[in-house]
Amino acid sequence: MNFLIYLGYGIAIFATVGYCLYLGLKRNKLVKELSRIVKDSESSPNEFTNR
Amino acid sequence: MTFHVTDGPVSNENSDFYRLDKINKALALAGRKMWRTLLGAVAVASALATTVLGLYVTPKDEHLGNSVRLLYVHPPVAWAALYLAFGLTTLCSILYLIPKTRSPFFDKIAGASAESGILFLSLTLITGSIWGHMTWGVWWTWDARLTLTAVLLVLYLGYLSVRKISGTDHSKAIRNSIAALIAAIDVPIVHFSVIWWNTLHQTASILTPNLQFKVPPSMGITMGIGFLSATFAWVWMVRVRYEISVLEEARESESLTTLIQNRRMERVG
Amino acid sequence: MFLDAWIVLKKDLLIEMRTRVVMVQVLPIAGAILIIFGFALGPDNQTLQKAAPGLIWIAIILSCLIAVERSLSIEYPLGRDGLRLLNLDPAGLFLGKALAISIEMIGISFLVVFGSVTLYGSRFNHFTGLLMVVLTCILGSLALSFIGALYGAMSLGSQIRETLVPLLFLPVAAPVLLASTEITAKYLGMTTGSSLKWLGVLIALTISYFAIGFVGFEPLLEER
Repeated sequence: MNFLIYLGYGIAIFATVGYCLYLGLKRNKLVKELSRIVKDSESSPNEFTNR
Repeated sequence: MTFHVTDGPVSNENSDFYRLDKINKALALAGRKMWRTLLGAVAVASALATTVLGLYVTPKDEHLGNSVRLLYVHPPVAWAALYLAFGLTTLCSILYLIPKTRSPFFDKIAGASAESGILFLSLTLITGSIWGHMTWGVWWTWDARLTLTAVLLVLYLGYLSVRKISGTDHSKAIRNSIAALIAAIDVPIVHFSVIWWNTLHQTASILTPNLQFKVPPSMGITMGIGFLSATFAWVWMVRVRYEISVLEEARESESLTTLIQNRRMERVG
Repeated sequence: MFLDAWIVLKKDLLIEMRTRVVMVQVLPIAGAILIIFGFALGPDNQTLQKAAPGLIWIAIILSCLIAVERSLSIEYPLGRDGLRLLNLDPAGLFLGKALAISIEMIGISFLVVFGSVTLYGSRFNHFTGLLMVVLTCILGSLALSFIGALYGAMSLGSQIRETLVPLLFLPVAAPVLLASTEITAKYLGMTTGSSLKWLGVLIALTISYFAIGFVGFEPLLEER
């Protein structure tokens, strides 16, 4: 079979999976970062405010 | 340690409660895994099925030979880009512009959808170009549909750069929505280009039922699965991209709040 | 609204009359583009005549881009706030701004067509051909100015305005270029067949660009 067909499928899969991976990793990074913030402020609630 | 805010209005947004509330809400959104995972699983499975069926199971076409296998990819990604992604972007932009339905949610979804649309549209152009090389003998031809599709890609790239211009949330969203509407004018032109101009690109073959009888059922089924996989992948991308923008917004408000608090600490200390 | 449009139109044209920036700078740029194309395509008159419709419209679009920039830089010191402080109806403001650009552009496009006649030796089919090209110039200029004015307002106050406006403007100008080139080519005797369809496309584009600008200008200038 023609190499170009594999190329077409390859590019499509590579790009889609790549974009999805990028999205997933970015999301997980943000989740980790924000969870840490929540944990920090829960462990020391009076650090900044005394409301 | 204590401090009292005595001068200047303090908006509720800077309070600790509000800040954590925003973050917690964003985290809760990102934590709702079930549908997202299910969607992703279906998308991956159907994409795998399309690949295996399209490359190995389906027969060669009498006229087109092996290049017909690209047709299990090209129309589905074009569908995801032109109709699903840019359609949703346009819809959400209109909904934002109407004061009654205005909500930051629509702006975020519009951006998320346009981003995946650009990915799918690039894939449409790439697979189409490979197809063109195999059947027409050229990588690119200055045919109305091809040219207008390339213009469409640049239009939405422009839309994404408009999204990056700074401003308040509201003014940004308004700007984005109008830019999306301008870009959307090209979508129907691309759609009807095959009818309006007698171009090299063949007319839509899926929407004419007569043609369906000519192809073997395995081809039709493979193409159907291809459409499903593109659709599910698109929904997954929009969903995760939306989560990212919510999380980013929460983080931004957090860092701003921290900065403001640090500044206040300096003054008190 | 029309009164407001008239005020803005008069203001912009008056500034142009006093400073003559479009006349002494944008117009020569359009001329320079035509001459550069002449160099690029060589001295063969046949080639130039064949390419003339496209070259005319590329020259018009590029000069429109510069005219839009100019129209924005008039408002530069105050930017969007300045426009809002005028306290005029946003739709009128849009109409005035766009019409000011389009009047300049109609003038420029006539001169570009004239330049193509003298420099490239383009000839009209007959008298109706001339009229049709004039009509195309007017419609094309209107469409380009509407979208240019809208994008201008959109990018006003942005740090990346100089690069953003061309990026946004050129793709939107592409359908206009396509339609007007086809009509111009027909009446310069390069192609045969009906151009009515293209005229329809051009009119549809002009109307839709106008509509988006008309609706979109108000929220763009709204309170942030």
